[in-house]
Amino acid sequence: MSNLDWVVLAVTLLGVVAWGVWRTRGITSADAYLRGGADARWHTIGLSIMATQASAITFLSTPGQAWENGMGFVQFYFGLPIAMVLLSAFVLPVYHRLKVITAYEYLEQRFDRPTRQLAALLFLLQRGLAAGITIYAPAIILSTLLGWPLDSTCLAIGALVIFYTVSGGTRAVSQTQKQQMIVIMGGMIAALIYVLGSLPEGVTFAGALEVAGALGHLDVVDFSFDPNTRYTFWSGITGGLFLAMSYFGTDQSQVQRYLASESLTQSRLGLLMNGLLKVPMQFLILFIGVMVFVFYLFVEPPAFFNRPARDVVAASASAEALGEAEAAFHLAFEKRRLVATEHVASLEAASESQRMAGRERLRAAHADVQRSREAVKDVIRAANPDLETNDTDYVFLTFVLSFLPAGLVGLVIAVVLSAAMSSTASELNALGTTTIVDFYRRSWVPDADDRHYLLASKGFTVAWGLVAITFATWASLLENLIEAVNIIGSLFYGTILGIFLVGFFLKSIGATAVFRAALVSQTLVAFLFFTSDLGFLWFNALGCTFVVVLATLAQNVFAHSRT
Amino acid sequence: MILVLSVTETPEQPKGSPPKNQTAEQPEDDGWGKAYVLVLVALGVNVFLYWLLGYTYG
Repeated sequence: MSNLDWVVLAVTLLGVVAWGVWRTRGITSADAYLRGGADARWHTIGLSIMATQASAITFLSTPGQAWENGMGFVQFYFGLPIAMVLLSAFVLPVYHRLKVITAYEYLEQRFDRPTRQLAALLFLLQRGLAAGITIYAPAIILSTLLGWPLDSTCLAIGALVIFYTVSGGTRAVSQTQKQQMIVIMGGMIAALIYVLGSLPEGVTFAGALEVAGALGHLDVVDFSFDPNTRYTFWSGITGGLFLAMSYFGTDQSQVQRYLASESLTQSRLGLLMNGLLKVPMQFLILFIGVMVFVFYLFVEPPAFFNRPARDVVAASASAEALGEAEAAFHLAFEKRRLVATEHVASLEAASESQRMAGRERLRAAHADVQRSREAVKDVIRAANPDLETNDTDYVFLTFVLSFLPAGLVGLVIAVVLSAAMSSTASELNALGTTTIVDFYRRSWVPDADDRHYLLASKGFTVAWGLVAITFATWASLLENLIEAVNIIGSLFYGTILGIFLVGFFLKSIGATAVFRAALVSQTLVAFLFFTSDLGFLWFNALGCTFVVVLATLAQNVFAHSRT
Repeated sequence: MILVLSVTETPEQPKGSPPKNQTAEQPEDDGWGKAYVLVLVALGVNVFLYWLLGYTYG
């Protein structure tokens, strides 16, 4: 990174934090700290919701995913706008009428205190672990490609987030997220414009779409019912809806964003703004990845994008085998580059049959490149089985560091760090708030004064921040950590959503039935997790179904036993 | 008094009304239906445009 990049990075990050702290100075009551003054407008809420969901890994992984597999991943978000409508219509009015600070307060109003605290505890367990990963995931990639020390990167991100989250509470989180989201979108649009401008002479936008489409990277919507295809229109509409309902409706890191509004109207508008913009935003990020893919059809990419991992093998006894595999990749790339250049150049004059023949030649040449890239990975895998050979997370940042001009590199790194900070801030804010509202003030110390609760709120936020930083710095000691945290999340999400669904829609079911059903459901999910090979995403649906069915059965049994 | 208890005494929930069994309501007919339809139509337009992109170039 050049000096200009460092200046852009520092000014952007510190400027946003300073602005957020200045705008939210003088918080003197616990209620203002936890609710954010309850005066946020819809655009602040909408951007805050989007910034909370978009973590740093979104901007590192998603373009790489499009580079590798095309744009089908956008279908995963098709259920989200429907969820925004359902939450706006059915759930927001209840939260606003009860004037709750946390989603779990509703459960005491509807059921009883144990049910509320069970759901709050499940949230703390799940989100407490995830906060560490939100810091660790970008830090490991930035430290690998830029040579930054991993622990210091985790510490710097965490300390900055703790500083402004503790300083201004919920309002500081929302205000900084608004600016961070502007930085994020500005940086990504600038990157897209630069990628399009960097395409070789003679490759028009239409030509770029033609080669991307020929190689299957523009097959966005898949209406097939094949259960083995991970992302289809149908899985997005159903699975995506389910996940979005639980995430936006019951996860305090999101609920706290839209409950900081001045009215029900502003909360609804904020959620609907997310429903309107989220899908196009994901499309844009994926499209950047596809344009990077087109760029690398004409400019030779590394055969393997995780350069430090590749260098480990290059310095080992397998160096010769690696050299041969990389030479074969180079030849395959040159062949594909010629075919792609000819295909683009001949488009205007070519007949439809000639165009189709050109596409076939391009696909064959691309398959050769893919095979030679796999051969390079095989050498790396054989030389050191511990090295991660999935390198798609490194594709976009490698492109940024190699080809973007000074200044823009700093801006894109600021995008990644802004995303990490905005997600982490929401998580710490929600963890601290849930601890103070659902446990400390409710059960542990119910009669203290407001100043005591303000200080305790800040103390719990700091404590959760330290937990997150500690977990992030230890994360490298564990294998497959990101997947592990996703699994833990899936184990709890279903039960939490099930409790809320019963509360909202099954009026006849009481506290005892839902509490027992939740405990049995969580036990059943844990049992299935340890004794079956079921994919972990299914636990979301199973946990929810268990709670709804068991609570209904239990309620009927109790009703009969009383009569 | 802790805040959690004060929740039951908001203007929208007069004293004496039972705080329990707060379930989802039928959506009010207050103009929001049009906003919801707009969001769903926008989703449909997005899906159609993405499908058209794949149909044209894929």
